[in-house]
Order: sequence, then structure tokens, then C-alpha cells
Amino acid sequence: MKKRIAAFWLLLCILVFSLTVPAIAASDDSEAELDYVTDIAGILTDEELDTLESEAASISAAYACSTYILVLDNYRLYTDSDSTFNFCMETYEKYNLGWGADKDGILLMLSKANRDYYLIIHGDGAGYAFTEGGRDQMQDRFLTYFGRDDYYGGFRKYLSECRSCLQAAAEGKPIDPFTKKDMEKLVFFCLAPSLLLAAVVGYLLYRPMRTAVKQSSAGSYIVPGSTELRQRADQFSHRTVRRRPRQSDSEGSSGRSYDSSGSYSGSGGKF
Amino acid sequence: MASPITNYQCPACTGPLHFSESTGRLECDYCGSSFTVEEVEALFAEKNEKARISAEAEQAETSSRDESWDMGMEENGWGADAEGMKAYTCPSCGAELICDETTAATSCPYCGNPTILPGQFAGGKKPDLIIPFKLDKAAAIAALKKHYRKKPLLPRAFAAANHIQEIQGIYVPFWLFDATVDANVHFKATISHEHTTAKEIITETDHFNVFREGSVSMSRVPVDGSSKMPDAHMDAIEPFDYSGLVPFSLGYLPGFLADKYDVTMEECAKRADLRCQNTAVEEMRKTVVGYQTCTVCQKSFKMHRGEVKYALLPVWMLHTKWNGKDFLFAMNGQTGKLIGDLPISWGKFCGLVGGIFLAAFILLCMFGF
Repeated sequence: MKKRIAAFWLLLCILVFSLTVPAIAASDDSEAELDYVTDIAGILTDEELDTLESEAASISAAYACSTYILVLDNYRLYTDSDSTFNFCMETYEKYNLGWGADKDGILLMLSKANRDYYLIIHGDGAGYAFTEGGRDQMQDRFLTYFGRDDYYGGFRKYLSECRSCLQAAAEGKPIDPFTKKDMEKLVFFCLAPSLLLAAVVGYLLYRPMRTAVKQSSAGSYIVPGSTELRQRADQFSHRTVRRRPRQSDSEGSSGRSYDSSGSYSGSGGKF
Repeated sequence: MASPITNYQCPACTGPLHFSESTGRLECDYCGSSFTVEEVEALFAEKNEKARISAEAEQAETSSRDESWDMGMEENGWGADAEGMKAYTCPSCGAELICDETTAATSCPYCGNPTILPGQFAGGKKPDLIIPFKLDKAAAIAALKKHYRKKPLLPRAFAAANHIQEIQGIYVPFWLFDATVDANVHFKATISHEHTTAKEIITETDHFNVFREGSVSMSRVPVDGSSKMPDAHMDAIEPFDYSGLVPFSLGYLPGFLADKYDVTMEECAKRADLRCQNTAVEEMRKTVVGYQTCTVCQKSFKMHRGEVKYALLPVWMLHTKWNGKDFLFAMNGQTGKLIGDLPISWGKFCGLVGGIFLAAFILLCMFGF
């Protein structure tokens, strides 16, 4: 009987241990196989790297949301995909990034050679803190630094914006401003079609009120069968070609992307 | 001296005759007799001829008097106001009728007798053809009421309180032009193809120079020869059904107003030429097919001008006033097509258009934003 009780306790301990260890392991981002700041392109000095790393670690720990920076020469060297969204998603999975069980985190990827950047968010907590409006505002702010090749300044701005967003979310009021992109969307998808519809309806209502109109031609008086075409020539003159960059299939017109499961979202572009 | 006015009187009771749109005959309101135009014309041929001679004699007399004597008209008479006016005496009641010098048929405002002024056609080209009225005053009023319907922008007060101030059946002088146009037209046309690669959307546009040479014949293109009639109204009531054209006879005029042309054929020919040329371009354009865009870049024409006929065409003119503004409507007296600009309630316009804008904006914001 004593043996049976001992066996029971042993089994219970094993069970409790097996349940608690993963929980303990997933309570931070120590399993991540990348530093908070990874500079493969070598655009940051060691000192800058250290400063950014400690700042990112501080933010991640303070808000339980990992904050990453990944700088590459050219992301296409690491993936077969043309999509920056897919590449960031693969990287996030591959290196087991993110905080806690939900793997909450934000990753800013910068591809220097082709001047691509991408911001990807994973997890419900990160999704709550980094709203679409907040992300757009954040991007507008750090992109001004990248635009003038001030990468360190841009990353510092990115981290400070991350802190602001996470702090606001922690206070229960995530930053979600009405951004320029929202305005563009409002104009193109709501305002312009509404105006067009109103103009068409206005014209259709106005037109029958003005029926006294001068005639410019006399089609009603053509002698039937009198139209004679004596000569015709259709000569090719020249060809013009217009090229526009194509957005990848996973990206909407706003540059925003979502994966099918809904756990990732992101946006990016050129800087 | 014979009166320059002809008053078609019933041979049975001497009551005034007027042309009936429904029967196409001249009818007497008093005894109910009716006569064909030809019968009345035959009866009154002599009287009309006397009226014409009388008018010419009066004109000649006035001319010679003006050459011989200074009557001091400008100091004592109507002066410039008298220009373009003529005075007649109604053979029925004796009242003095003062008409525009181009008026060829009218009614006496005192006794209502339909009156013809055949002398008005003397000295100018006599109409070759006429389309008699097919629709009467009641049809014109009904057409106007129908014109008000289904017009959400029409002020409610206009339709409700609107009283037609004046309604007149008028034979409007038209010049009918026959022409053949030889046209050379150059077009610029394009065809676009779009294809996508992994990185780009590529639009290739092929540009073509297109040339067409041909000819189009048009028959009886109408241009109104009355300066009093607005061109837009007269154009907009087209087309007339020319199968209804008959040789001109004064017998069709009683009961209606009729004007003599005061815009010459040469002046009207410019508008006719332009309409014929535009039609030729449209016909050549129809042969340019298979392109996505096509614009005219150069055109030249050679006009082969044909016969010109002078015709009187039937038009009902309706005039109304609202809020101190005049509104003029015209109805084709043959086909019933009625046109005319209507007043717009800008409050309703803004309300409707603004409402649609707001509704669409809110819906799009709810579902798409």
C-alpha cells in the first residue's frame, strides 16, 4: 500500500512538473534564437547595437511583448518568397520569437539593398497594443530617419514608439490615431465613390429639366443607304509602354497583410 | 380697294372657318360645315389674288410717297417703334390689327376671327411646302402636364400654381436643305493591352493613324428661318415626319399664327452646313471599329449643296410665367414632342444629391472602412 501511495505521489509530481516547466519556459522570450537587435548588414556600430539591444530588452520585459529589429543586406537571399510579409512570418516562426505562450511580439525587418522594410506583429497582446493606426503613425515617424539613411535614429524612434504604444495599451487606451493612410482610404473608398454617385444622380435629375438644346448634327435626315466609304486606312504609328510596380498578392492596397490564421499582421514598403 | 386680309368665311353661313387638326379640313364653328383645303382655296382664289395685288399696290404707294414727300413720321408718328409693324383692318369687325411685318396669319383679338394676310408672302419666297397641324391645343396642354411629371427637381408650387399664360399654334418658317458631304477625316486611335509579371503591371498601348474618306447625303435638314423662334427650341422638337409634307396652301393657316421668314436662306445655310459636316464625321467615325479610343484630329469637307425648300412647320408654343421668370415650351405640332426648360428647386436638388451622398458615404464607411 505504501508503495502504491509513493507511486501515486511520484506520478503526481511528474505530472505537475511536466505541466509547469513548459509554462515557466513560455513565460518570457528566452527561447528566442535571435537577439532583440540583429544587424547582419553591419550598419550599426557595436555601441549603437548595445544601446538598442538593452532598450529593446527593457521594453520587452516591461510590457511582456518582445520587440525585435532585424537588419539584412537583402532579404531575398534568405527566402524564395517575393513577399516580405511571408519572409518575416517565416523568420518569426523559425527563430521562435515572441514573449510568453502567445509569442507576443513586434519585428521590424529592414532590407538595405532593396530598401524594403516590414513591420510584423504576432499575438493578441501585441495586436491590441499595435493598432493599424498606431503602426501607421509609428512608420511615418521612423521612416523619416530611414529616408535620410539615419538608421540608428530610425531604430531609436521605432523603439520609443513601441514603448509609447505598449504603455498606452497597458493603460487600456491603445494608440489608434486617424492617419494619412486612413484618410487616403476614406477618400478613395468612401468619399470619391459617394461623390461620384451623387454627381451621377444629380446629372440624371438635372438633365430632363433642360430639354431645349441645339442640335449639332443631322443624323435623322440621312438619306437611307447614302453613306459611302470610299477610302479607309488604318496605320500603326507607335507603341508606348507603361510599367507600374505590382503589389504582392498577400498585400492589400494599403500595404497591410494578414495571414490566414489571423495571428500575424503587418505592413511595409520602401524607405 | 380690296382688303389685304383674307378671312375664310363659310360659304353656307359666312361664319369664320378654321383648320381642324383632327380632320384636316376647314370647319365652321357656327353651322358645322366642313370643306377640304382645295375646295376653300378654289373658292377664295380670286379674293386671295386681290388681297395680294392690294398689298403690293399699298407697298408701292407707300414707297412712292416716301420718295416724294417728307411726312415727318419721326416727329409726329411712331418713329422707330413703327419699324417692322404693319396695320390691317379686320374684315369681320373692323378693328385695327397691328402685326409684325412677318406675320402671315393671325386671329383678331376683338372678334377672334382667324385672319390670313396673303399679301405677306408677296415680294418674298412663297412657302413650297407645309406640314399641317396634327395635334390640337388640348394635346399641347396635356403634353405640358406630362412634361411636369416625374421631375423631382420641379418646384411643387410651379406645377400646382402654374397657369399657361399663352398658347399659340404657329406655323414656323423653316428652310429645308438637301446636301451631300464629301468628308476626309483623320482619327487617332489606340488599343491597350495589360499584362502582369511577378513584379510589374505593364500596359502597352498601340497608337494608330486612321483615315476615312466618304460621303453622306442628307435630305431636308431643317433650320428655322424665324429670328423670333429660339433655335434651341426649334432644334429640340425635331424630327418632323416629312411624309406629312404637302404643297403649301393658305387653307391650312386659319386658326393659327403663321410667320414669314426673316432669316434668309443664305444665313441659315451656315447652320445647315455645320450640321451636315458634323453628321458626316459621325458617320465616318462609325466605321472606325476595333479600337478602345478614337479622337478626330483633322477633317476636311466638300459640300455638294442641293435643293432648298421653304416650308412652314407646325409648332405649339406655350408660355408661362413663374416667380417673374418666363418659361417657354415648344411642342412639335405633328409628332407631339414637347420640350422646354423647367425651373429647378435648388433646395430639393441639394437635399436629394446631398442625401444620396451622405447615405452612400455612411454605407461605405460602415461596410468598407
